[in-house]
Amino acid sequence: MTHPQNMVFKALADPTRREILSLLRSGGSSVGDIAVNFQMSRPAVSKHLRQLREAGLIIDRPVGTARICELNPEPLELIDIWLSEYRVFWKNQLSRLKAHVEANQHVNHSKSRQHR
Amino acid sequence: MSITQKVANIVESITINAPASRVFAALTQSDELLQWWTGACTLTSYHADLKAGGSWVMRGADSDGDPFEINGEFTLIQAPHLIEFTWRTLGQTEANVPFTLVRYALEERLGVTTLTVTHTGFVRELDRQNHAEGWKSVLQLLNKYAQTQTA
Repeated sequence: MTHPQNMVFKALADPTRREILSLLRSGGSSVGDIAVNFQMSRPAVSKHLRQLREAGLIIDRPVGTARICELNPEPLELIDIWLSEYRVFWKNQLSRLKAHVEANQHVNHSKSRQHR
Repeated sequence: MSITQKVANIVESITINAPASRVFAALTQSDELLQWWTGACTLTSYHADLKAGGSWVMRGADSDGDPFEINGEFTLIQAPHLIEFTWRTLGQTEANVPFTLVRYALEERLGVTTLTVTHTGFVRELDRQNHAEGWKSVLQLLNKYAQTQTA
């Protein structure tokens, strides 16, 4: 099972794919128009687009016979959520540490240090 | 604060009524860490080779009872003022999450310690190929998105 968060990270971990997203910021583009910006084969570009599509970062919109790729920033929220979870986690850990230390002011650690 | 810092770094501080050496011990000694770390998750073991280059690992169960492991390596230790270590969560849903960096900075004044934890590297680790421009635009997108969500 692939976690959606991981799919977004995986999609973003590659510089080519980030550059594709960057290109799409100014508006939708056809696969051909995207491909001319990269020195790689069209199938290679398509593969990157597929990964972005699977992560939900781009959406295809049919225009006549062509397919226009458009940016969808919504999955980026997953990264924001991931970081917020860590923020809450550290806040909680610090208050727990404070409570522990202030309740145990005189713990002697000389013994455990000697064994290191 | 730049967009990158805002999105990518976590900084939290707390003031503790105890000397830095006392806080340092609670952060590094396994018998103590096991006492206070457990909250939403249950920590069952903590092993640390407390020296630069030494590894550490903690194991336990999360709030659903699923086992987890967090591990890493100490990169810098200056007792009792600074501890820096890499951090990686190995879990069922986070297998691809890369190493990040945690830093505890302890500042003592008149027997009171301010502890600041900084958790960084969420972006840097993903950016091993050093392609800053691409990331900048992704972060700008994220920032823009976050603004529309709070507006």
